[in-house]
Amino acid sequence: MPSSKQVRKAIGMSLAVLLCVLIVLSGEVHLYFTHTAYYYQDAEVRRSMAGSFDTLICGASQGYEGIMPTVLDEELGTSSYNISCSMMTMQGRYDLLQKELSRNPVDTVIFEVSYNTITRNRKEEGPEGDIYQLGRLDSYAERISFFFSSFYPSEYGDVLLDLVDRSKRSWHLMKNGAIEEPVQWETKGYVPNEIPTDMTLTVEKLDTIYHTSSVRETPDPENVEIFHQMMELMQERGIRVILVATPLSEEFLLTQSNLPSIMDWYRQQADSYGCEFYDFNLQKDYTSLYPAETAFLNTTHLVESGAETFSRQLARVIRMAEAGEDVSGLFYGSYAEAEEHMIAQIRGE
Amino acid sequence: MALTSFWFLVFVLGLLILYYLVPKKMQWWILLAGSMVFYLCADVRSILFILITATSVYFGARLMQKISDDQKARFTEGGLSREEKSTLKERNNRQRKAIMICVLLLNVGILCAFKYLHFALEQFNRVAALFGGQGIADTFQWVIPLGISFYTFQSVGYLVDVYWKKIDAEKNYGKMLLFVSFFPQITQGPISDFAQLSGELFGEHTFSYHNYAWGAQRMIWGFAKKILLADMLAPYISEVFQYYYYYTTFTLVICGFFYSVQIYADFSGYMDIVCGLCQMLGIRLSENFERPYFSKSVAEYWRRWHITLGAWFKTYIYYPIAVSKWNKKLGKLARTKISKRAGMNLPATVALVAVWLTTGLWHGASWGYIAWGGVNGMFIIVSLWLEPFYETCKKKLRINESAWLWRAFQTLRTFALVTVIKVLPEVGTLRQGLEYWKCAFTRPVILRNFVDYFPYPNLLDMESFQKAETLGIIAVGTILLFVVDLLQRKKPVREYFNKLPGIVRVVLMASLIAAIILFGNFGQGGGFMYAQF
Repeated sequence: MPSSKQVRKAIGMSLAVLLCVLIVLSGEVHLYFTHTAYYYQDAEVRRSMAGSFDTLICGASQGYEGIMPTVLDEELGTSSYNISCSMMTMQGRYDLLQKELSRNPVDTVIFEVSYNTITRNRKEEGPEGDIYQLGRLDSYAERISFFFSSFYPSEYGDVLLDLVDRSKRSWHLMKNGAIEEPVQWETKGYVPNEIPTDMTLTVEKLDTIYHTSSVRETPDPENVEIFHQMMELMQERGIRVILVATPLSEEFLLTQSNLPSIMDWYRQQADSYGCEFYDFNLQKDYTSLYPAETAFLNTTHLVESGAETFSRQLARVIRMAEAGEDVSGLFYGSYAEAEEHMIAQIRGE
Repeated sequence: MALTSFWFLVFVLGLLILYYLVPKKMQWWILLAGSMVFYLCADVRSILFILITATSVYFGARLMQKISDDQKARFTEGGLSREEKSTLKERNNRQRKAIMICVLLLNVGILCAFKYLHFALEQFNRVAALFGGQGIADTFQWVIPLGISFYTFQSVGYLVDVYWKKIDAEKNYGKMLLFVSFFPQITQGPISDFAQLSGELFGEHTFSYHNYAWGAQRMIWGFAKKILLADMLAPYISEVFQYYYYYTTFTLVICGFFYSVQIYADFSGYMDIVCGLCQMLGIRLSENFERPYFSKSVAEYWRRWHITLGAWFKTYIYYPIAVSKWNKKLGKLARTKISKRAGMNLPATVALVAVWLTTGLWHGASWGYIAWGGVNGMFIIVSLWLEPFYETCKKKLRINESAWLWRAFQTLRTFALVTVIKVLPEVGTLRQGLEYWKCAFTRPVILRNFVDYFPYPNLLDMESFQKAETLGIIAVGTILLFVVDLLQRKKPVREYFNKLPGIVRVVLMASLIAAIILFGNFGQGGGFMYAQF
């Protein structure tokens, strides 16, 4: 056989095999995207409710597990949805925010900011947050675009294999009729953690951990750029932006020595954009509102009871601010002041 | 760049396209460039050492060749007396030997420094401590260059072949570098001789659909063995080897069996990948396996497992020792003093001891590996000496050697023996290896529940479909591994496969690839096992 015929035969057979593989894998992966085997898969919920939201909560896991839209709706008469997700990257937040702004009459965005929102480095952290985001998109066009814009080429193989793994689970759950309706239908995006961990800090432990660690302080340039893009987008649309730092456990607050510098950065941004910023770690009565024994899942996330309390407190502050009342009296002026009261409580002074 | 990574496949595709696009005379340049890229991606710092080896061996061989050629030319010229010719020959042989020894010392020295310095220092410090002395600090860390064991042996073989005048020295440095650094064989062999490999590497290859298809099929089968079976077993083997003292007889024996399956699937899977890739390039590499687990004796097993390493040791260690003057004298002495049989066996025994101790050392710098080599050698040597006794027993017991029952017994016995020996250095130290088998044969046989005798990590935490999948793949993969080997007694399985209709072949290949992607345990295996040597 002449060489060119051999080459054509080889290419033909290879393409035929690849096509068969793609058909099998696509079928499998399609099950993942069209079923809700994972807790974060709320695309169908958001799509069905699209057009009804006037308030969006946009954050990562602290927002996801800390802010209850149903409580905000009850307290403020809003129609809100929490579009946060675990390990959500700034790019992920921006993409989803843009999408939801385009199909909802949003006038308020509660933007959850935490100790690592602006400092986390996507390359170091890996693709996990973006993998969840991929599972929350509506169409293949969006998914393909997101895949190539958010993942590094070195991650392509791992991400595709991860998708295959998730698809297998989806297929098995579907086969056994075990796919559950997403909780987000009822919770409007919030995902509850029910079982608390006792985060009580003893005096002895306090002495060993106090200001012994620090979080990354330098804002990541990519995150900063996307943050500004989001703020400008919301400004253009005349959306009220409320930057919110959710309560972290006492243990975390007292261990880290440099939280004030990060929160100062958010405060500066809020001032420069003329928007509100509330750091609920400085809230007076913090200890009684978020008891260490019952309010937290771990050092940085609230459980359901803590999230309900926090959401009501958030609603209260928003309501007061709307009414033109001075809310500064509800917060300590600095971390030093807040810590002084926390430590006094722990020592029983 | 791991052989089981996505980027390796991209690399192979690019290489294949370039290889067949360039003029045939330049094809080896593409292989050389590809090998350098592969090595640089894997280990930038170590490229210096591969260049040292290639360069020293190249110049050493060329020098020896020049001396031989000059001698030949001088003799052809004429005008030399017999004594003069003899003196010249002797002088040249000494020079050639000195060159060979210098280059060998350099390269084997580098290998020993990287692989054995820590071990040597550890033993020195132990002895020093016995005499109350102070040892030498052993805190330095260095990264062993990728493939150093394999390319050093391959280069040494080439150098010795030139010294023995079996082959002429290669004049082209680029070709020499390619021979040393050819990427498919750099991490785990096969160890090829220059005469065989050079014809393949430097020849001109036309694209052939047959080579492409068969090579691709073999590669896919290799990926399946590695990713679906070897890597799937890895967490389980690691768990039992690490915590053997918790487990019962049944668990330890089953784990031993699956370790044999794992290492075979891993190593032969690698061989299938590289041989398949080379076949796609029109290059034939030496085979390293010939259904080893169907061997009927330990000696036969080692003729079928890691064949090229065995051949290397036979050519460069066994035969030189076996036919050396002093060993022949020893044989003569044994024949006169002991018996004719002893006269035959003793030289072979001496050579075998040398081969097996060095084989053990080659596999690893630890007493465990030395003992492993020693035990393997001991079985072969004992069989050699007891051969007349075995023959007598077989006659007296009227054993029919061609009966399937007898052959099955021999096969299972050999498999059990090699499995027991194989596990020894893998559990940890030599003592731990011995303890493992002591536990296996002295613990009570308790069958509690499935997880007890097959403690696959996190099995209880897995969802039911994952459990079924994991255990199913291991079962099916193990059965297929042995069935394919059995079928290959008569002819390669690909011959049966390629008789099927095209659409069936496409679907089967696609199913295997999809199975690898869907069910493969990526990342769990931690690289290829023989790459550590």
